[in-house]
Amino acid sequence: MSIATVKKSANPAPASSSERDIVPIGFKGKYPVIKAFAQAIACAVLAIACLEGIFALAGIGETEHLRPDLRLGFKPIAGKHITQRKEGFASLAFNSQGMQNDEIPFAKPAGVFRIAIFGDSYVESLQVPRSKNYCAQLGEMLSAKWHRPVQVINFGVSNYSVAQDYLRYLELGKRYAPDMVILAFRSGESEKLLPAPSNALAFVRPVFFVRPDGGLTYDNTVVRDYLKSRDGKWMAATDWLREHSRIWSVIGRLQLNWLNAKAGIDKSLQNFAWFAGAPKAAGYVANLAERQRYLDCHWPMMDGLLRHFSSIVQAHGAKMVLMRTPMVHPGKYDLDINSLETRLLEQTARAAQCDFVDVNAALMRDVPADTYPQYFCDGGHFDVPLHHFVAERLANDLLPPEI
Amino acid sequence: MLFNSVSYLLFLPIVVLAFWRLPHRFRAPLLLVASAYFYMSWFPLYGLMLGGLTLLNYGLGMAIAAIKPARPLLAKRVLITGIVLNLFTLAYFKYTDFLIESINKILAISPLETAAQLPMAHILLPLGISFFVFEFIHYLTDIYKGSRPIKDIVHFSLFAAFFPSQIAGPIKRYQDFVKQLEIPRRFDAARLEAGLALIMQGLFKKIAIADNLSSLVSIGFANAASLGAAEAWGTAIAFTVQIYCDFSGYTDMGRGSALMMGFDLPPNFNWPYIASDLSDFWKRWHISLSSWLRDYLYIPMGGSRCSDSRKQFNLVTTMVLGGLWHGAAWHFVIWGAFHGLGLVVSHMYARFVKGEGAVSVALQKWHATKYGAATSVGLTLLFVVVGWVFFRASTMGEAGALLQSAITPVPSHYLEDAYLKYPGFAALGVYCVGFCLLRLWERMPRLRPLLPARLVGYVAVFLAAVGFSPLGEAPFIYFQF
Repeated sequence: MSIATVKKSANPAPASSSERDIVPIGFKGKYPVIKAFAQAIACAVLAIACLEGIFALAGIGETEHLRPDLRLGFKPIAGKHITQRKEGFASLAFNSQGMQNDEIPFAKPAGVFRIAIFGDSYVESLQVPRSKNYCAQLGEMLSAKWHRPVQVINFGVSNYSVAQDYLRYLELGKRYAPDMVILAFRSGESEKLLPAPSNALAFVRPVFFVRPDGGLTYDNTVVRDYLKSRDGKWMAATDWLREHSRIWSVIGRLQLNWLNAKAGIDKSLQNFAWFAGAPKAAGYVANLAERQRYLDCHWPMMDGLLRHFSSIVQAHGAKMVLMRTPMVHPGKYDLDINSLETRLLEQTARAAQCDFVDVNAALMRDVPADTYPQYFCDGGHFDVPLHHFVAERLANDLLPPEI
Repeated sequence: MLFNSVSYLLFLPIVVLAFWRLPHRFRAPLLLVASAYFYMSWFPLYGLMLGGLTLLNYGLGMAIAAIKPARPLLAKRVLITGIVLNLFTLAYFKYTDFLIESINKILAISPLETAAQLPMAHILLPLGISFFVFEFIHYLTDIYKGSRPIKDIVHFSLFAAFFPSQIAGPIKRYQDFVKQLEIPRRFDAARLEAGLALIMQGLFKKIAIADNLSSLVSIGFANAASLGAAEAWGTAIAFTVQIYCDFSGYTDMGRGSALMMGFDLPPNFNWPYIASDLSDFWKRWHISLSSWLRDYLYIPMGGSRCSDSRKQFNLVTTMVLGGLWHGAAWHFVIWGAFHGLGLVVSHMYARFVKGEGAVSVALQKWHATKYGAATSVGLTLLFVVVGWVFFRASTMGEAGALLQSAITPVPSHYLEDAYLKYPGFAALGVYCVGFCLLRLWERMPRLRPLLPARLVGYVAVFLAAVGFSPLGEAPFIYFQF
């Protein structure tokens, strides 16, 4: 076959060289199919190398940071570099232990007071530079206030439940011998103790059941079932790619776009629903407020877990603090107050002999509601001013260690 | 449906496949149905409005053609009626709120203490109305001038509704388009691939470059008064790149989509930012609009075949109306006037340089050098960049604040993170490198890869575009016009 050229026509103005549509078609010479195949492979290798290089330089495709874990459900990928653009902006690397922290040796230097903060993405703080999150700021503030070096270690992991925080403490946290453990507790935390109706990795969590004698029974049925499922096997099969390939992460985004598009197509088809008669009524789903009304039914599960967690921490010679953090839902700037959960949490803290810090109440008291958009990112996570506020509140409310 | 949406990436292949599978006589009806779905998936009711306007113009066109030979005066009246009806439709949807707002502003500063305020109409602008109304006016005018009307109503409807150019042009000429509809076409893989290449190019310009710069520009303009000079210029330059990549990206995708079905749509851009003067810029920027304004506004007003003062008046009026066409706001009017006055000065300067005086001769020599040419391009670009500030700003105050910041040599840090968060300039760099490579391959055909390798290349461009794009689908700037 020959080389074909598309001729332009009917253009009132001259086409630029960028807009010339010249395309060679077909193969020539000996072994055209083999040549074409070899060239395509070479081109693919080159394209992959170029794309990976470009994406690495521009910080693209660096959002995946979780991998499945039989015991914990999932955990951060150690050493993974993250560039987060969805809310705020941060470019940072998890340390060799999979923590959103600089490298910290297990051995505690003499004279240093260590605080370990556990929680979910609100602690992990991928939305702001590391130096501006409340863990880093709290360390600086307390060091100045207490006149001794204070190291604050961030153990937060996106979407972790208190059960996973507890396991993370047992697996990793206690090796750092913290003097104080702060557990950040945002609104709706108790919902995360129950298996979530989702096949996404970030919802695969183990569960602790509270026995009548107060002890805990660990159950990772959900995790095991997930790992046996098609989604779990796919996650395991693509683990290397998810850790190392930025292109893979972009392909993951495409998948997400496709799901969004499906919803969009359904919506646009509704414009033509008048052809098909009246639209069907939407199914009923209980909203968050309705679910919260039944919170005291499953609170004993949380209560037992928190008591156990704090007794273990205290047995290790550390102080346990439960911190109520503020929360808004994505795109909205109304605080999710959930006062029933706060009240129950305060009761548990008292019973477990933990300190209780209510940053949520402090925010409501000290910050006008119309300024919340400056405090929260549009996805609901903390922006820099709120990190500063939380650090200030904690620095103010935490009691200095007894020397 | 947006060209940069996943739903369009599904819609287009289905339409293209069906187009080539069907016999010629069914292709135009297929495209009409597809275009109706494309348009009505946004707001079905306005599809009826477009349909009504199409029928009206079809009837008027036939009427003009029928009565022109015997009763030219009546034909002229029908033409004027048609133009007025089209412009009235455009004015109603586009300028009612602008008019009410302007009246309210006048009432607000009136000495009457109890001056009433008119309620805003809040009319939703039909997508693409500015484009298809101009196409209808062109159609009626050309019929009156003697061109043959389109007899096939499906072809006529498709002229206005053709989805690759429906929402933001290019503003087509019906003679070119209908000729292409009438010719039975055979499937041409080369054109299909050329279309795919244009779509990929446009997609990258839109989602990788323009959408990232859009966020950066928004931050810049939101803090216009507080920016330092560097960040103010950064904002203005970012918008200069954004609007080009957004609009030319849309045009590339539209032209590419049409080309996949064998249709050539007119190009809208020809390296506008290397224009040597403002006249040259308008021959390179939004070519289909500027040629429409020339043919159906500037020339009917007298064009350049009149006195100097009249010519200058015609120029400024054409540009002001062109500015107003872009949007119902005073900053668009100012932008149009700015360009109109710039064109007047540019023409005066060009005439002076062509003179025989010593200074003129020296200037001619200077412009003939590469430094002279570069200076001309640089000054034209500077003028255009400043003009875009008026275009983008939501108020004149905002434009003034940004321009003032641009001459205030203080440091500011509003955009530091934004440059990293929205890597539009990095994407621009990647685009430039990729573009140079493509041109290199064009010059050395022996190095040009074969089809399978090229397909790998298109996938790579697609992934790069998706990778660079910010989350979510952003509408095209010109959709609001």
